[in-house]
Amino acid sequence: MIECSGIAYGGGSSESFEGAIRVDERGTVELEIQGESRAYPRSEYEVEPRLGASNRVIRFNDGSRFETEDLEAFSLCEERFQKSGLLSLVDWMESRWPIAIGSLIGIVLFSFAFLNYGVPLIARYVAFEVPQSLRTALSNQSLDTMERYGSFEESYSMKTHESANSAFERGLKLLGDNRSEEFDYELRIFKAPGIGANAFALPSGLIVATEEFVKLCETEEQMVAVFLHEFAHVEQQHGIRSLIQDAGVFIVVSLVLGDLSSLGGMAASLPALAIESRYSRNFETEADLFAGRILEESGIGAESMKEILVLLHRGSPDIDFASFLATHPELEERLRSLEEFVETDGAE
Amino acid sequence: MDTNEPPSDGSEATSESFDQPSAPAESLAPEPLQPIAFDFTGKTGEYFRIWIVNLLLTVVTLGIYWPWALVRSRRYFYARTKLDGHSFDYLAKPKNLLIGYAIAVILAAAYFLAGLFNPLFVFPVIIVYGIAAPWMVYKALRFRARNTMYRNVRFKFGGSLGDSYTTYLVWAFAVPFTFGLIVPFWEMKKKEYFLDNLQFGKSLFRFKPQAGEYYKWYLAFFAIGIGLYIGFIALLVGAGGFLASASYAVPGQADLAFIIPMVATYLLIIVIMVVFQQGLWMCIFNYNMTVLDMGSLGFESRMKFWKFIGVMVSSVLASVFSLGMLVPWAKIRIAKYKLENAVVLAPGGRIGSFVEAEQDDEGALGEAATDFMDFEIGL
Repeated sequence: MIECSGIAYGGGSSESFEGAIRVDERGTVELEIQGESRAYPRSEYEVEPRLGASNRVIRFNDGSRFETEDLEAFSLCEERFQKSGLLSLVDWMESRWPIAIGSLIGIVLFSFAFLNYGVPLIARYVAFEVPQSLRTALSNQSLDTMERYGSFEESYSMKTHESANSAFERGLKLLGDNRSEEFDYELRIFKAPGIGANAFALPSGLIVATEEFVKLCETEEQMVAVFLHEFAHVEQQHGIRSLIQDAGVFIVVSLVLGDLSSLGGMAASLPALAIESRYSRNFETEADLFAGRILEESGIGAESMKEILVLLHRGSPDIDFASFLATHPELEERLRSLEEFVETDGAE
Repeated sequence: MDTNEPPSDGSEATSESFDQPSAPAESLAPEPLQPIAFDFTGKTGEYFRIWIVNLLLTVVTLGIYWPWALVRSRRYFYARTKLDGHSFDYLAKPKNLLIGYAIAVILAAAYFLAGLFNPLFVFPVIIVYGIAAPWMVYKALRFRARNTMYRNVRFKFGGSLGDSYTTYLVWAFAVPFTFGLIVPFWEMKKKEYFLDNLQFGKSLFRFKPQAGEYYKWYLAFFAIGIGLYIGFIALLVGAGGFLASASYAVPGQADLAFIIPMVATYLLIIVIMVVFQQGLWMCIFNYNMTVLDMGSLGFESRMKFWKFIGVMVSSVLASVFSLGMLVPWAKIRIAKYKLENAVVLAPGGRIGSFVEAEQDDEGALGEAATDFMDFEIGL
């Protein structure tokens, strides 16, 4: 018989007495209150799992309760109770400093690996499984929202349409084998003084260019370069992938920093934004290189890509310290990676 | 989704058990009230290890471990809180919380996906949430109360579902029509719904606040808030001008002119939020304790404004600067300050004995959902 003394409560009342438990080999607990004792087999009591050095508790089916601060005596009894499996492992981890330090490293490594490889992998897999009809619905909805809330207006300039359409068709031809059947490519041109010279791709294959952008291009090749960049976003499904990745970031960041946010308000928003921006920059570089490769192969040369990047960059300078929050890589970096690509490609 | 039990179920049970003696009946002259202090024995190192293992398992399981983490963390704080030599206990089963948690996640996902398609699509989700919220609060309060135990006696929440709808939906609708003037009254109604319907075993809590006191504190803090806001803007304009001129004087240091005000603004916002939100909370809480009683027992909270603000501001800043590593230290420290300034006033310094009340088993949906959505319903 192993014994442990503590406080005992009878069923349904706050009255407490000095009490003791005795545990036999089969795990039957004998609870003694004021000289009277009662035996409970394993099925009639529940042992609260160990939690740090807080008091130990047994709850009995008839509403009685036993509590003790004598952790040593209780741990001897514990060997005869039913093992609580997983939670005793958790307790084993919680009571060791090396495990605590290891957990900290584990959290950092896991978050890093998951955000770097896991989330992009899942997003890539899911994005290509999305049916085209859903992509179309999503794209039309986004465009509607922009038209409703932005200073967006369909362009009526015939000249703009002609030059843009011709560059668009040329770009599609150049895409050739890289073009998958799934996407419905279509060009729409808008007047958007609020946005300025810009072009973007929606997941269905809908490409939106602003009139200001068409006017900015000095040569047709420059326009083709940008359209190829946008085609890359569609072919690689960067749009839907970023939506999924951002959701993944939200989940990981709220899990890791949830407690901090509940104390410090918006503490979690900055790290989340930084990670999302990094994903976005990776996609931009990927699209630049995709366009650069096709331009090189076709003999137009990646030079026109660089020219249009410089032109687009005017009027929106990079802010050095904020580069970790930028959605696009800095101009110099974009030009450099294009150059590197052309060099290595030429050497092959 | 609604339960089949009538909303009046809780209050019927309470009316029978109104006159439970909670002090020895034989004493004719009332003994003088003596304070019994709460004692919090949580240890930073110990809780840090529990917290970090919780975090690891929650992250690695992508959130599935969350209910276990919640129960372990909360049980630690309860077990380490002592009153009159006896500790509290949290009885919730993580498996029960898991279902509610899953539903809360689905609701959040619906919100996210709806917003993805069209920002307008979130409104139906918000409406569904608004209609479900009072029911969830009701469920959460019941769940939390019945899983809180002290001296082998559980707490019980006897409020009705109908009152929850009045409190959390009807009064909420009144806010825009009264230009927000009803907010202090509404806050009082929420506290009243919780505290005036709370039971410890068969003994009823009584909570009779005066709206005037709520208005007094809200007005005071509103004035403080406006003052802080004006001061903040003035400081921002001044500092911005100074740093901009400094950056011209030192070429190449333009980045600092952006970083310093950004960090300073961030920290200042945190401090202002803490002073405003926590300060108001503390003043109201101190007041609430003076108008709360249970049988012959009274309550008192002796927190001091600047001391409390000091504890909160330093805890929050330390947590942010340590990238969250000091969160466990902060939580222990805050709990210690709050609890060790709370006392129960008992005749002759004896708490007396209590009898357990009968309760139905309660689903954990509300508890999980309200906790997940960070929706504070506590004291």
